[in-house]
Amino acid sequence: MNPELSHLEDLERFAGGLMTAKETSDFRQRLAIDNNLMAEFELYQTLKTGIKTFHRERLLGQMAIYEAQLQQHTSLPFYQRIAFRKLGIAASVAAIFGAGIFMWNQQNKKENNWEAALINDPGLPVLMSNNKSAYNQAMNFYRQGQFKNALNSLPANTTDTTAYYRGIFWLKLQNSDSAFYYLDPIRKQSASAFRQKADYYSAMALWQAGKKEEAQAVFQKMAANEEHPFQEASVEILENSF
Amino acid sequence: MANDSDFIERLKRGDESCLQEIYTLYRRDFTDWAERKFSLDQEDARDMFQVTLISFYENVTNGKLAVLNSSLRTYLFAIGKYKILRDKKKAVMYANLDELPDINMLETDNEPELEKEQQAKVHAALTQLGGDCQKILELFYFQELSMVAIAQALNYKNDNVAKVKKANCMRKLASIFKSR
Repeated sequence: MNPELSHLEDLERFAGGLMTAKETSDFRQRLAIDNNLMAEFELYQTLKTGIKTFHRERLLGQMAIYEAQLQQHTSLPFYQRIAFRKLGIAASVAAIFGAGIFMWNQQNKKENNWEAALINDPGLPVLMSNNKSAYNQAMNFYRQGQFKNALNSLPANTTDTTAYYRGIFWLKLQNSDSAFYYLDPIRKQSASAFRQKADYYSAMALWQAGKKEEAQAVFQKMAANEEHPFQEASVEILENSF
Repeated sequence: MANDSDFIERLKRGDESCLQEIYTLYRRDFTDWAERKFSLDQEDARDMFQVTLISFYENVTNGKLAVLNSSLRTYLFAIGKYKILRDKKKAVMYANLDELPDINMLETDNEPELEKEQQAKVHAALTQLGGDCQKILELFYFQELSMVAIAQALNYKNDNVAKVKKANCMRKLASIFKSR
């Protein structure tokens, strides 16, 4: 009896095409008659595929962060974007427009609120070819603004991906306590791709709940960290709303 | 600005930070193109760019792509075109795949698909497994690095140590998976 991959080396050589023709033929015969070995092989394939999809999801989580940053940059005021792109030749023109835009921006600051400050999470990709992805349905509901349905469609597991999106969906449902409940622990998971995003959305949840001092502390921490993807957003929030 | 071969070298070394640079460089062009040429909506175009970038990353790390015969932009757009056409199930009608550069290196997701529940179970087991084991299993099964490269990356004494560690982690994963 070999409950947990006791033939791992053989399985890997077989699956990786590293056996000789004779070894392959012999191994196929063994698989055909040995149910335990076949079960082990299936388990090995399941784990191997699961490891790949796990890391693809991790990368997709990272890309969601890149996307948020790209959108964050796009949402910068016009004069800042010009500076960012280093369009030196526009300097004199920018100076003329700058004064007007600055005044417009100052006016906007006064009107800033939680809703306006929120950078929406773009969600995970939903692929036409990947209908079996655990998150497809939830993400479709999320993008349609059906947050309750999105919440109910999330897979019943305890991964950081699921916990993170539970937090995001609760935030969109304006249930800030539940949002914080799911998001806050992710901030302490150093291996999680969602850790820094969880910082930002935890702070937004605290702010939404009216806990401005606690929220401010989290925003200040992000604002002080130049590596943090939400550093600029935090600085802006602290300047305009706290 | 980094050139295309720099990106490949950095990815080979496991430097994922350059993914963000590539993302920023090409995401807009790609989604504009995909929306215009294939009538994708904005979200599908963005999703397609993200999986395209992951395919590129996997092809670099598993050694299928060592040197680019075209620009990175062309390569990414070629992968994207292939994936979009495949998803639209019109690949045969529209694509002459021979025209695409490095087409033999494009496909990375040909392993069997897992049922939703099975996949969730493996993911939960991996989360429970812990960082070191997650990393070694990622390097071996996802990035498909050799044991020698893994030993170097994780500062193990030699490839035999890495091999034993990897086998132990895989068995531990199997044990957690079966107990759930």
